[in-house]
Amino acid sequence: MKRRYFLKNGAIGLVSLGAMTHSPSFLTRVLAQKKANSGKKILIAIFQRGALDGLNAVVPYGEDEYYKLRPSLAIPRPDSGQGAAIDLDGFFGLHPALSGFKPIYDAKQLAIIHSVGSPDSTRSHFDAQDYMESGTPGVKSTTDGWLNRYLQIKIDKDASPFRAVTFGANLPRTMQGRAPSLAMTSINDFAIRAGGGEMGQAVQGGFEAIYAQTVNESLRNTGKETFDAVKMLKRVNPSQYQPAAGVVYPRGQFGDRLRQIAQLIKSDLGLEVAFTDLGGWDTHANQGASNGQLANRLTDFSQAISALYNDLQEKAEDVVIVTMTEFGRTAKENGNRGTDHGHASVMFCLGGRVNGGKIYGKWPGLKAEQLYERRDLALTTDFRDVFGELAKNHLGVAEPEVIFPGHQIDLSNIKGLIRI
Amino acid sequence: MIKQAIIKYFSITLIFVLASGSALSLAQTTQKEKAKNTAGSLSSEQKVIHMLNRITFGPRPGDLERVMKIGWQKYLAEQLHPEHISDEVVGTKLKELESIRLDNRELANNYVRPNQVRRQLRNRGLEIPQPAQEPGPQGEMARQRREVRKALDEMGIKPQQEILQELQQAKILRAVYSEKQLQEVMTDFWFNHFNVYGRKGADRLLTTSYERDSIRPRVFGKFEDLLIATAESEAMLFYLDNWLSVSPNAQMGMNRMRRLRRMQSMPNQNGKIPNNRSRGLNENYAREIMELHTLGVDGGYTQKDVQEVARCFTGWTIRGPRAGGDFYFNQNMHDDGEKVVLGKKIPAGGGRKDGETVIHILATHPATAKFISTKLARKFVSDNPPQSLVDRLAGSFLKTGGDIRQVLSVLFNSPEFWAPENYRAKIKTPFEMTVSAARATGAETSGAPPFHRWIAKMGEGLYLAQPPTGYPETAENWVNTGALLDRMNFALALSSNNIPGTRVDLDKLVSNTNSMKASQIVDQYVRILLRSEMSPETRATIDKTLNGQMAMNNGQSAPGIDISKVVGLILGSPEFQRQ
Repeated sequence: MKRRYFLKNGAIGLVSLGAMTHSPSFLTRVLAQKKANSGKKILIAIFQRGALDGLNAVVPYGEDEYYKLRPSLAIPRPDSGQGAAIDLDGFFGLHPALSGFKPIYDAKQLAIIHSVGSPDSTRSHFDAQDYMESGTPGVKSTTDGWLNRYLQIKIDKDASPFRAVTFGANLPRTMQGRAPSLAMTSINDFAIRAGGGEMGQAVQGGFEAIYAQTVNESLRNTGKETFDAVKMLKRVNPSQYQPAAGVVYPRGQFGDRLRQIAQLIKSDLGLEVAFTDLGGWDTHANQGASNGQLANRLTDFSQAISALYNDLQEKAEDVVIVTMTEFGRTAKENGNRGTDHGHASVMFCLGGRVNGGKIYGKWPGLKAEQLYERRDLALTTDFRDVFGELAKNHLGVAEPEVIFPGHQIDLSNIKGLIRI
Repeated sequence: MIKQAIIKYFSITLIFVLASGSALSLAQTTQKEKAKNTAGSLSSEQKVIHMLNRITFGPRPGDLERVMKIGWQKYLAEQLHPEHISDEVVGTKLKELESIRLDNRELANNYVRPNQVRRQLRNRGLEIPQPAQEPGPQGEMARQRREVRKALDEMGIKPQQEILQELQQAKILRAVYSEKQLQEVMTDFWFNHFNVYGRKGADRLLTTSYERDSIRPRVFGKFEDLLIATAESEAMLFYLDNWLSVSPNAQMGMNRMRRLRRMQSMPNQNGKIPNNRSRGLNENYAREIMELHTLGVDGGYTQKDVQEVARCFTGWTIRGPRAGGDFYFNQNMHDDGEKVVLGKKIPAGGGRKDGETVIHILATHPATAKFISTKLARKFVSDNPPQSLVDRLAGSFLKTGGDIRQVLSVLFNSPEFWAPENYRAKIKTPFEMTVSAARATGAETSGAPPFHRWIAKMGEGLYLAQPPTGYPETAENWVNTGALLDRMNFALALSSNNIPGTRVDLDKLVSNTNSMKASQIVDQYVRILLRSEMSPETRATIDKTLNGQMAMNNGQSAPGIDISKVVGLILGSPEFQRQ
């Protein structure tokens, strides 16, 4: 099929334009060795934009102070009837809307890191997201993102165009940088729509050639990545995708995106890093307790992630899913049954080789003098240490410090997060 | 329209220009100047193209010639005073859209929420069709939809989603058709600067008046007026939660307190409305007015300042936002103690004046001048604007008391704006790209939702930026693989008339193609759509693609070529992504 297309276009003069001079050698390699992914480690990063209230997601029900600070928002202690927290370890409990996580936690494949985040004191969403994505809190001049810096460690010009994929309309900060990376809103839309047949091929070839020649570097590179990916996707044709038996992704954008990440992984397209995000965590007013605004977001969040995890089946062995959020929220509820911008929050980490079933990090306490600036959950683990652990022991980066310049990675709080 | 305006207000000059024949000589010098361009300055034609690219949503066929005649200086002066521009075409187009003229209360009364729609339909034994997991019999869904629509029409019910949809439609229509182009560009800029999310609760109905009454009338005025207007707007008070912010020591009557609680509350897990006496500040607006609206994140404020500003704005609230109620100041919610904001003491007992004092402090602060100037320079000049320009704009901002028209005037007359390295150097955002393509091809559009769906797909859904930062301006946010494909596919969809509600007539753009060779026809389109400014390589590729087509058509000549694909290639080319 592919060969015929090349010949056809060659006959009509496209070959001379150099459209094929950079035909991805990855394609040919894929023909020879079907499994591009076999054994390769995969990281799926999920950003909860807007600042997740970690104290209500993973509830410190063993701490009386929690109930004093949050008279209308607190999640009731486990075994106290409807809407109660789901006990994890005798001190922490899951928000009831995260019930989808419990079986994976019990199977010791889901770990929680509590009181984690960025050490920078900013309470600006924009700055804090920027810092978490660049991986350099407090330094604004960093031009690339940390996920991209990971990809840069082993840039391979024959790498799959699907090596790094973002689901979303924009390329996030964390994926920006020298290493090629791709963004899409949906797999099915990832093609040139110029009608079928020869004509359509000619137009696609035309666009490809035009972008290959443009002087604007970013348009040229992006163009190349785009067309490599389009051609490859067409070969694999993942549009006929059926999730594993019994797996149901929740309806909506987030579930759709995670389903497509599973699709890419199972199609062996060479995916190594996937990123996506979801908003709606900025609960200044009417946050709700066991039910309500935050509960609805958490339901969507955990159902989609558990679906992805279960859908991966034996592939889960090579995958780590990690979540992050720019900061936490005030320990005390505000006057509008909500919470304002705070400091530390929680991260979730799932994977076949995640040493799960426990909560990592040090609990700083919620007494006034234990709070950060006397108002927020204090930070005891730097988010870069978590990513550093994943880079080192999951992705096999010898010196994760390269990804987080200026930071000495300290694994003491999260020792053994990944089983080696 | 432009022509009318010109005749009306610049007739004397126009006659002079025509009589002296300088229009002709202008055209002659263009060729020479074009050759000179490499030596360091834009030709007069390029200058006009540059101006049209930056202060409008892209030139339409004929715009360049019209502005060449009057000169960019006059065109700019005209655009900076939209009150003198007549705008009948867009006026007629907008007549169809009822909701954009209604006030908040009328919108609340006439447009009902989805669950109410469902309830009303159920009373008639109808259900809103849901896309089933298992596909049902062919056409069943469409039939159900028609039935539901008919029933709603009969009952005189309009669904609330229509408000936002019409607002999006109006924005597209204004961008495509309005003669007050710079006003619309600036309305988009300021809306994005003072962003609200059109799908957050009551903002589904409050956004219409926000843009129409708070923003558009002030886009060239004093920055402080704009800041006050947004601070007092129901849409902003709701979006950033300030309407709920209450002094912890408020002397609120129990009835009012209970009512407010009821409005704010959702049932707790026992299904009861909690009777809770906690009350307090909400910092959301206080933080964003400093970080995003005025000083910028490095503007030198502290967490303490955020809390103090939040105290100042307590009591700035809304009477029943979901019923379309108005902004008012509620003394009982207000914290009337003394505050200190950015080192300035605000004495106790100020009431509503506290918020106004804060606005004045912020609007006149040097950090604000710098922050706004940087954003304007980034928007109109380059993604990395030169510091010299930003400083000059900030100086003008401070000197003129934040007079936006004057700051813009300095900007458009600056050497940095006209520097050749900034010519066609900015990447269009999705909204700019789609609208400029419609304008360049002289498309007829109703602004119907299929057009907006393309913008949304590329990540810039109108009124749909969820975070208070609004949408980014710079290229790295908009150039990525998926979005690039979407741009090419949009170009093809537009040129092939595959966007319902929007039509192009490509034959009309070029006259007398009968005797032309295919390559000459392409030349005509490249000239009209890109002023011939296309790289020889791109041009050659289009020819080759054409040759391929013709080979497939067994060597048929010109009439056999598919012009829609050629135009698709031009509009989807790297050249057309730049402005």
